[in-house]
Amino acid sequence: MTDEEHSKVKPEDRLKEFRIPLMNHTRYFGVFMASHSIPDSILVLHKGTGCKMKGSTHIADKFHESFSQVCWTEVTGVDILTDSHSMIEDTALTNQQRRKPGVIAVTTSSVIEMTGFDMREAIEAIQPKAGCPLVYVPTPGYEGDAYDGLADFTMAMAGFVDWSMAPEPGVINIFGYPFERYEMDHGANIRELKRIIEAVGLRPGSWFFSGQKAAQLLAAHTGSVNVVLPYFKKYAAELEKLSGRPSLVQDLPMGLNGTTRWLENVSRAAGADEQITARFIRAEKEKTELLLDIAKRCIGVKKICVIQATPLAAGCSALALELGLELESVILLDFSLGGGDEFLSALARITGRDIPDNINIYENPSWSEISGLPELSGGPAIIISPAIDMEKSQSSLLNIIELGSPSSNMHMIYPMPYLGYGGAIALAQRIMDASASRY
Amino acid sequence: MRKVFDNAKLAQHACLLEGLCICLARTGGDFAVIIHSYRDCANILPRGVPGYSSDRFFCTNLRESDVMAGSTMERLSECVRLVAELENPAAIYVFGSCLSELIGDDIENGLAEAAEEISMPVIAVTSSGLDDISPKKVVDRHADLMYRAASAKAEPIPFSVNLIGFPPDGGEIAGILAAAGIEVNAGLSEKSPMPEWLKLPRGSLNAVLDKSLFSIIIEKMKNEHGIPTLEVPLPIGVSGTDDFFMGIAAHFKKNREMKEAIRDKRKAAAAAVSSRAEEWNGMKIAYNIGTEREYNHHITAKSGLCEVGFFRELNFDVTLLIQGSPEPRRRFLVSRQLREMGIDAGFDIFVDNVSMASALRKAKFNLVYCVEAMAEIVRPTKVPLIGLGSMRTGYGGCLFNLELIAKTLSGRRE
Repeated sequence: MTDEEHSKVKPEDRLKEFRIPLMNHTRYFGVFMASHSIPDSILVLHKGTGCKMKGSTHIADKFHESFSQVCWTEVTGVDILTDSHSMIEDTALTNQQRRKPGVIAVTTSSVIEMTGFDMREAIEAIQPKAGCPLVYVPTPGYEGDAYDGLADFTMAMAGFVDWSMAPEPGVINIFGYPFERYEMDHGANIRELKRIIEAVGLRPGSWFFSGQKAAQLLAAHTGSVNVVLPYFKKYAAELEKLSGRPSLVQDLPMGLNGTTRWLENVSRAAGADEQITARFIRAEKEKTELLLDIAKRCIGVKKICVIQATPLAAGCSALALELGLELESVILLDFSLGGGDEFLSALARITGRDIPDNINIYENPSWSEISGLPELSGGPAIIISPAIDMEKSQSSLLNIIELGSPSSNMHMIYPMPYLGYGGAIALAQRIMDASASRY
Repeated sequence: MRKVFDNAKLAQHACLLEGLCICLARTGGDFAVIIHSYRDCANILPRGVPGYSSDRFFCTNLRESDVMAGSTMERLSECVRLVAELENPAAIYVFGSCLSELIGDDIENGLAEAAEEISMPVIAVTSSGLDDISPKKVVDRHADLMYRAASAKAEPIPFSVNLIGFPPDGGEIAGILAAAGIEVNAGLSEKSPMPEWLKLPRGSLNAVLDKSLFSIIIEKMKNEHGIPTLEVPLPIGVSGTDDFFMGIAAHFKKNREMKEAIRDKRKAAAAAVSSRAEEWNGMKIAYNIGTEREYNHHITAKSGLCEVGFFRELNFDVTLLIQGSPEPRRRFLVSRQLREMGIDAGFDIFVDNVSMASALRKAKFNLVYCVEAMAEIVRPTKVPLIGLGSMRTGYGGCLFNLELIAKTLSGRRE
């Protein structure tokens, strides 16, 4: 933009550039989240001391606290001028000896890289002594989002898998599941996907990420198909090339139609028995439809507002449409997953139907930009959202279903999936509950 | 030098930017904060804490291209002008970062022109995370930021005290002081809104837990308003609460009135403490410090050791569990530091939070006093945990604390 063009932009719009968006995380948080999801990993931060708070304060996990897996060099200006290479080596190797991790994630900040410090070179020098993969992911603070970091880390880790080993027929890997915490929302999602793929005669392999330990992830060579969820889509082709196995790009298995489509595609790609698949899907659909029909009749609030990262927004919206709800506003919480166009395409794919053309879509706005929306100002609506910067006085008046990342108020001790057939029913139940609390 | 500093410290390192943002996130008031850095630095904000409102925080969201083009200060000036024009806060705080320091942005002088143009206080702080700083210094700087917004002219109120750094107590302290003829002018904790800080110049005495925690404003108030400062203990337990009240009373020469004011409340607390002290005599408590970066005033004060005296009063055998490097040299320095602080408790050092469980298992502790966030690590050891900062002040608080400890020891805690 030229200076002249810039000066023509309204001050309100210029200020938007400086506001903090609802989802502000950059690559670092994605790497933090990925490392947290591998129980025997450690994350070495070659960063200033304040940077460690950019990860641990944003994960609220009641089953597995996040800070114990992190170690840091707490580099200072003086260290940068002297020898910060040795700080990384000391920190990584000391913690490797003490904790015996299955993988060590390493990252640094843009500031340190700007000093000309060659992090990659430092990691290569330490790797022979490390005793486990050292997965280095650059996390510039300028651009990208948490999902970029998650995908970058996943791809870097895939580089440590020995793909030359033979795959086992019927074993499927999953790439690109943002496993934020060890609570019974994610646990139930993993369990539900496992249930439906095993029901059609397939076997789960390495699932990036699902709470599996590093060794299990590094055994991804056993998988014959890599199912790629939208969060990892940008690396689908690269993974196919690296692994020599097909990358099957799929939307999230959400809602009745979305789950059916997902399972059909996965089964076909992995060579599952068609008749068994069809029989299982028929039975599941019948059961799920019956329950969703009851939900449709019970949900009193008809308007819904979805606030999620693009793939999850599409999945939640698909279920909402199947439940006959009116989708008025969708707020997308990412910078990297395709925005409004991708949301509409994904929604059309998942539902298999035409999408209403009156949905208002906002791409990662700040709270002040959307706080005046009728759905967020107490107008009757169900809101499916993670914990965002909502004024407490305002949020207490709303029917919010907390789901997605970050979840800081809602904790799960009982299985509450949102993926698969079971997820469609459980989420419909949560919508019914939120609606009932209103009336 | 860094090594010596690391070895001597009892608390964790802090980042001034992060610390000030956390402090300001929970400070109510009509001000805006601008973080001058790339986008990721705004993720130090503890989103979701009570009082936090993202509408007050902005970030210059510097891009690589801004850094390469040398246009970062222009971007900051534009942000300041827009915030002033559209948000119109009473003050704007601008914080630097590792990045702004590395590229040499002089935000303190560079914003003078913009500040003059918008006729609004623009307070800029060079706050890089690459400098070693203690949590104590963060609290000190935060207090100064609040004080700088206060009016320079104020008539002091006689027999009034500013209680700086004490946790809110529900009114008992103010009530007792009032009964002795002393008014609380400002009661300040980390959660106090800006208007409470603005009252400071009207107090005739500052009472603090730790002079070094508020060194900047203490000096300014002395020079600008002649307000003296008195260090008093945290009013916790009977002995701590006695010393707190009698210390303030002695300054105002109201010892007799104070003795009268505390008499009834003190009696019940003293009897309860005496009875429990007999029951708990010799029980072992692990008192943890250095595990979490804290900007709560009374936990940051005296390196987190303000409550040791209370457990001693209850006849607990107190062992300090200190997180950090367990090197012999550090043991020596820590020992010397504790001696200088007048703390003669035994101590053990564990290297990081994961190692806390083994430190707890070493000596059969009956109780551990540490941050709640360690609950998952402590749980397998079966040592009952009381959350750091959950003790209440005053004589009434004393009864609450005894009940809390008793319930925790017996496993009845809710």
